[in-house]
Amino acid sequence: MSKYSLIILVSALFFANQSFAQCTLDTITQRLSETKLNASFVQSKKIPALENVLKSEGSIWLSERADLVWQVDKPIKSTMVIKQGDIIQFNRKDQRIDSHKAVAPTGLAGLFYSIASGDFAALSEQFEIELQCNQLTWEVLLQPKDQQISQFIKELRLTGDEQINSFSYLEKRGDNTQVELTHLKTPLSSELARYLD
Amino acid sequence: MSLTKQSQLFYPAIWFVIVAIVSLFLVANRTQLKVETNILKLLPKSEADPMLDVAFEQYASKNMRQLVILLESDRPEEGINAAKNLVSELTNSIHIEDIKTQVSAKRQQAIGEFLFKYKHSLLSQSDRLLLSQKNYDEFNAENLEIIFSPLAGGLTSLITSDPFLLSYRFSQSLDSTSDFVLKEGFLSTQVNNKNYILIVASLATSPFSQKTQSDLTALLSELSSQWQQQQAPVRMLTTGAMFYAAEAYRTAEHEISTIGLTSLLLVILLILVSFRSLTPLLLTSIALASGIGAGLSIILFIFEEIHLITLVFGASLIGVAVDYAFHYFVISKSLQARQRVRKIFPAISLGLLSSVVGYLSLLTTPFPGLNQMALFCIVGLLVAYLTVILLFPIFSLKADASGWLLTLCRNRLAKIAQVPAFAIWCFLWLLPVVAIAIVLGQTVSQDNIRQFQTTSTKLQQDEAQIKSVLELEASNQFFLVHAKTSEQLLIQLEKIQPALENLVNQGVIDGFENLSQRLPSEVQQQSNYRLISDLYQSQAKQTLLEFGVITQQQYTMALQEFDQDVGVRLKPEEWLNSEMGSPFKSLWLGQIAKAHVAIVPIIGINDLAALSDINSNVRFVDKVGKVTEVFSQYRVQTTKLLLVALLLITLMLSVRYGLLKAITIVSAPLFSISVTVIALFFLGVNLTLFNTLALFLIIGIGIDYGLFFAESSRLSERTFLAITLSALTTIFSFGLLALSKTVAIQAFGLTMLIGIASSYILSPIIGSLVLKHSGK
Repeated sequence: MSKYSLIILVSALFFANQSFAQCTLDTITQRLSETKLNASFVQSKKIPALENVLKSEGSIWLSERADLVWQVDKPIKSTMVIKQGDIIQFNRKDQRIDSHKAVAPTGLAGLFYSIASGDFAALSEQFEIELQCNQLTWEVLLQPKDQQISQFIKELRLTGDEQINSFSYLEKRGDNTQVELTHLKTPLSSELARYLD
Repeated sequence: MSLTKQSQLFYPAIWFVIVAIVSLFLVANRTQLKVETNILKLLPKSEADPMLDVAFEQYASKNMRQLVILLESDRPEEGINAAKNLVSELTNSIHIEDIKTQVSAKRQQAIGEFLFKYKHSLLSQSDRLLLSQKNYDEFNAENLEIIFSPLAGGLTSLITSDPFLLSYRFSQSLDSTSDFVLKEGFLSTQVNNKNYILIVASLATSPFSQKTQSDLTALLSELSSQWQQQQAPVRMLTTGAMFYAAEAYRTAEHEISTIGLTSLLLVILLILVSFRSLTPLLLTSIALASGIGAGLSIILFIFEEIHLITLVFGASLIGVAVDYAFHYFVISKSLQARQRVRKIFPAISLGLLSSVVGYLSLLTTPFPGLNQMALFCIVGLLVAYLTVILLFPIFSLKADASGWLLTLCRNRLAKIAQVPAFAIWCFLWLLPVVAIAIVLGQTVSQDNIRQFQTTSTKLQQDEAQIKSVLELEASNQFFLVHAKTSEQLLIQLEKIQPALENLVNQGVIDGFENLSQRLPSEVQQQSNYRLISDLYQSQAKQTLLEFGVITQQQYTMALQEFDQDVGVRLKPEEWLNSEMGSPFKSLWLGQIAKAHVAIVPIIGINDLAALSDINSNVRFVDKVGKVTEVFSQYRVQTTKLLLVALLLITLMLSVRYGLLKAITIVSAPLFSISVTVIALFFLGVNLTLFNTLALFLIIGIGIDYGLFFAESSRLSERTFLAITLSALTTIFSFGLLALSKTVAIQAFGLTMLIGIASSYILSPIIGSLVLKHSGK
């Protein structure tokens, strides 16, 4: 690529951003907060050590009180509730798992919570954020600047329009997880609210 | 006469030699002058079981070095900031050896790698059950939940070499049942909407070192007040032996400067008012100082350190020692110095002998504290006595007791001469009868070692609140397990697991820490290996293959790895030196007296009475309970010794005075201690070992009062004045201890107060009777 074409590309990107002045992190946060997350998901996890991709399905819901419920249905049921700074897990029989036996470190839970609620202000404390927009959709790339997080995560990627459509994260050791969301009309609260008590 | 001149120099010379030796010794050892405040040092060695003593010593010394600090905040952020601040301050302190709060990523990784190495020999109790029941479906389901959890994190990379997540499952079973989770590496929890962060530090030095106490309490209180003033305050709760020891020391220091100073001023005032001269004050001070100095020296020489309690109790010999000095000053106005000594010699010598007989009985007990106290008093009294007879005569004494005081005493005696002394005396014999009835009737014993502790409400509140948030190991009660080899010890520990769980289920205790759950015996490890082998051979792998968790090829490789691990076993030494085992080193005591010994600490005792030995190899150790029991035994024994001492003194005195007169003299302290016992009973104060000890001093003092009258030619106002002054001095010195905040010292002071007051009131009545028996 010639020097000139690089300049053209850079300025094109610059102007492209200019032309979507409405596309800022604040406006995305604003948009996301208008409709609470209420979706089914398909997760595929690619682990370098394994030959197969680990696939799972389930639903994800952000309650009015802003508690996040993440339920895996297939291949085996498990439920996770993330409240601000706190995480509660249930096994396939809906029995609560002792917190010390819970898998997830609480730091990661907070991260999930910020992503699901589109809280870029909180995320920007721990990540360098890069935003790209086109007319209908946006994509946010997050790269950790917090040392503790960078021990685990290499990068996070979110895409969406009025809502988040997908997110993926690449772990330091190479695990790549892709989560695709399908927004549902029927509220999940009737099914998932019982985990909030 | 030249002989007299020689002796005039010779006697003081002896005194100077003694005092010089004492002074030199004290100066040479001044750096070692350590006041021991550790309660446990008062305990007798349980000679029957040296293993128990060593075990207790090792465990308690480790346990007592722990500082438990809990930070309470409304939001986690402030708590974490405060914790970081605290950890960096503590790390910089020379008094701190180790801080057990942050679990570093490095340490977590080291533990993970260690467990991974031994994964084919380790199984948690619940997994052993699942596998022995061949409930592989449940086992697999649990694993799938973990693998497909959105936050499975680093686990997945383990799957190829550990498809059944054995190392992960074992590590999860180890974490205590507490509700603490790691937040930025700090152990945190939430109770009633408050955030708590736990920091446990261990001291590099003894918790009883005053330097450690003052440095650390200053540091912590400074941080604490800083955090309190923050916009979002952080509260610091603390507990640990050091805080209690520091508090005890502070209280003692405070009391010495308030109670001690008040007594001293009152005594000085008393002497100045009585004699209007400085010489008696000076001489009395010399007598007391050399007595206390000598007592201190002998204790340091023999025991190498002095206990705070010895110092307090021992210093009470002042009450007896001043008797000799006062008697010397008031015996007569006209007598020459030597004549004075000759005149008081029989009375004070017998007084000394009686007190020594009393204290000797305390020397026979196995309590180091009582031994120290008795020895301190015997030597201290002897030197104070020698000061009076050897040193006092070289000073010419012009001062005489104030005339008005003598008139007062004369009038008082004149009144007493009119009372029917003998009738009263006969009637007073009811007192011992009532007292004995009370002693025999007393069933509730309060001989608790905790009476040595001050009652600081702040520390107790902190401890109570800490206990409501986290489970603290009981520091004085635990199970002691022993066996011939380390393998047998682990087997023994595994065997008692059900019995221990039973205690938890019954609510007797809240929890325990059994090493065998972390470090299985070799036999158990072999059996684990067999169970895992069954798992590998079973159909369990199908589920993993089906969900794409692992391929057939990967599974085959994992199986090969498993086969290679056939002889890999986790050995105790290796475990103890690993990141995993090192925090539990204090529970593995190693070899003591040919046995391998381990401790099972107990968390939260709800029903102490229900705890006992599990079998002959698993003993329940309760040092506090044991001490309470031993204290009671010694209280009973001391009470008996009290009567023995009285009997011995009666026999000794009857040689000089005849039986009737001797009984009359001894009846004075007998009545006094009876009055004291009765008074304490009506005041609702239980008789403890400490009261009983004070009764010993009352005997010594009461005997002196009787003897002084017996040795005077008539019911002399001078003798009565000497007794009055001694009684007041003793009350000023020790009656004031009744104001102490330390329960034991308070009990001691109150007993002294009542005992001396009644001895004093009885003294002229007994005195007049004694003189009547002599036909004077």
